[in-house]
Amino acid sequence: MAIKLKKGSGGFEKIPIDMTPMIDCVFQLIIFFMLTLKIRANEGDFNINMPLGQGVGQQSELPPIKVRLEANPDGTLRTIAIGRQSLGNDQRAFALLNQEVLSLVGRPGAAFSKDIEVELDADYELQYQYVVSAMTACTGKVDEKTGQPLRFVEKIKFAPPRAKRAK
Amino acid sequence: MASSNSIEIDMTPMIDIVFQLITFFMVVINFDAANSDERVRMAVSDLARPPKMKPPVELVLQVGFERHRDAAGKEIKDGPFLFYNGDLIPAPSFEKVFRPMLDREFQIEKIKGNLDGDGKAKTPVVIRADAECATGDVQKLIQICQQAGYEKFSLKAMQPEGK
Repeated sequence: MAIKLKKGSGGFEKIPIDMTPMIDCVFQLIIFFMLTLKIRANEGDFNINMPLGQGVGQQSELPPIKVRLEANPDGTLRTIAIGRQSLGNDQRAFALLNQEVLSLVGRPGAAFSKDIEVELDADYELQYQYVVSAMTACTGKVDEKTGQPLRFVEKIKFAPPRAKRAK
Repeated sequence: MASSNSIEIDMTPMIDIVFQLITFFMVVINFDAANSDERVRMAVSDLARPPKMKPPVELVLQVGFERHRDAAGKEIKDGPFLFYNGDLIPAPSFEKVFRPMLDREFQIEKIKGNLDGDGKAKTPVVIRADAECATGDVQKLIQICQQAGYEKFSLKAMQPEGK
């Protein structure tokens, strides 16, 4: 790659620029980026505000929607219940939970939806993935048209932890 | 390349492409994932979206398992553990081992003046818990944080693939 021209005795002659070190560095950079690249799904979060000693219903004037999650001894979900109504333990149960919470709120974005609180009461052994699914079902849904989340409950809290079952 | 008889190779297109590649990798590389830990396989949530505003400081707690395979290739997992500052703290020792560490963190917050009017830490606690760990262990961790003076929590979940 000869770019510069130098006026010599016999006219202009090219001054070669040695590109080798630059290309070496550039390839090192590419190899570094290729090796460190990890394609992974984005993370999202559920924000919860839990002051110490806050009792049930102390923060909000409205009573919380109570969701009970019972576990089998191996940590899988036995049943979800909202109030006294049992919803089952499969994917359909989470869809039903979503519908039930939405029916209590009225519609996404309702005026008082910011005051509504959901209290999750899970067994100690229950695998955390079921709690995340319950939080998802309680807080909103994905709009089928836009693909954007519609949140209808902002506040989530946990009931005091239950005692571990004796093995 | 220098001699007048040699064939000159035009390096410009190659350098163009190489710089394009470097730019691509620099843009795609996710420095936010520095907090992520391979040992924590988080639950997936449709509503999980990255926060619009990231707090300047956060206390990240990772709860997961040490997984390995036996001779038959079956996965065995030990734990759950809290992975904190390079230490592996088993769930039954959260109170005994992690609480003093957290108290020290809170003292640092206090010295920095990073407390709100109620004397609670402004720093949110980010909990990255494995999908298979017991909910009670996560709740126990939250309780310890509450007792130490933290009251803002952010529970992490993964976005579904391709969203």
